[in-house]
Amino acid sequence: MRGPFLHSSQRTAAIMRQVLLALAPITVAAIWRHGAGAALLVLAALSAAVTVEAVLARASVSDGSAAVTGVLFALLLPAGAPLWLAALGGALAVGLGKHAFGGLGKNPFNPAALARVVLMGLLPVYFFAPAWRWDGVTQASPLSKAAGALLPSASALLAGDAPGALAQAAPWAVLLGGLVLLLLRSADWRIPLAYLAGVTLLVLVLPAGERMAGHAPWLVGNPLPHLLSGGTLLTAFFLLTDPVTAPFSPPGKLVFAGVAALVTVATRLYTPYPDGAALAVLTANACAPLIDRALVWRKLRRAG
Amino acid sequence: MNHYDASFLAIACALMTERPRRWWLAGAIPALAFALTLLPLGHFAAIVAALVACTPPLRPAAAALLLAAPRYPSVRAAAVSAGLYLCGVAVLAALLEDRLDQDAVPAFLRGTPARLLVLAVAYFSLLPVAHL
Repeated sequence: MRGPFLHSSQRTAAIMRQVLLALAPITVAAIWRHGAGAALLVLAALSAAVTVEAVLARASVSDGSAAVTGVLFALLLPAGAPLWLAALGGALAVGLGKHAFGGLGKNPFNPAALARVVLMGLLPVYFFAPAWRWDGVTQASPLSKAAGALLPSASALLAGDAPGALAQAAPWAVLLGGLVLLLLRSADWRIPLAYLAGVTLLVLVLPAGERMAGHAPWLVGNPLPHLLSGGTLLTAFFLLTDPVTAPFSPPGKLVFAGVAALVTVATRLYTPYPDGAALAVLTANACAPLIDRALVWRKLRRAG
Repeated sequence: MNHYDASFLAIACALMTERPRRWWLAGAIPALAFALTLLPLGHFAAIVAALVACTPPLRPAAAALLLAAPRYPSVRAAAVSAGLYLCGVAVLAALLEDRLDQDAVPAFLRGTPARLLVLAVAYFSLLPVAHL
């Protein structure tokens, strides 16, 4: 027997419309900050995702799930990414992330995060440039541990005034979109809350890694750059809350968010990777069935 | 072959073949292989590790032999490799059994290809572990 066995009364199309509505402020903010290039990236990923959906499952194009995947993938891309990368990622997200596993509701991994991670592994040059071009100047990401990285001020971080992915253009827009998602009850509030609390707590308690010694001391014991840079906020509200890839029980969701927070922070502190949010999503997705199993067994054992 | 690749091949081996009851015993191999490198055995350390991996309790697990293959540069690398193998098998076995609906998977991907796809995604997701 395979779950999920509980179904929401909300129809897929209605949920996807709500998610697209919540993604709107982030997309608008990214286009406002990065200009037509960002709009083209979103368009390329969106059209590729919808085209692949139309080819593989014509009936489900109208439910909007492919559009959500396309937009989410585009928001995970660096602002200067080539258009073909956006199109390839959009196609991969729907083709490999969703339909290779049986389509909507059957995918074990979040499709947008899967496409981002697979492309990051195959084409690292587009994701791990030592520095990002920003307002005509070459800068390192605030999460970079490379020499030359700088810590922007708190106000600059909140305004998104730092190099990074499209979703980092305006953290306040991600927060706004996330609140919309929670108010519409399209996402479970436990996951973003537990994930953001977990990231904060772990950054405060974990010691510095040897890789960052002398390079990025502000990443140790300072949760602000970890919360406002990288994919933390988008992950908290939009990637981890995908009901298909998260555990079913409320305590399971807390453990799931904790696993994601641990992977995010450990990747940032102890590996050369500047950000681990998308990797954390897939790792937590993989752990979801084991978390469900462990909690169900515990419940059954308690029941006698 | 580095220890990260070896761990993933061992995970693949444990998940693709009939998993022995005591599959977790293979998790001790990286520590053993590292300990052997501390002895003055030279290149024979790998051979001894391979022989240990083939002892009766581990023999059905080809995973043990794969975990004996790389040269572990530090105790941390051995611990990471063992942890990766043990967690990887436990997590991915649950994922493959509970969430991967083989009947829903397209016919040309059903069975081993779908399992390999999950393993490939896990390989890319955990790549930072190779740098720990």
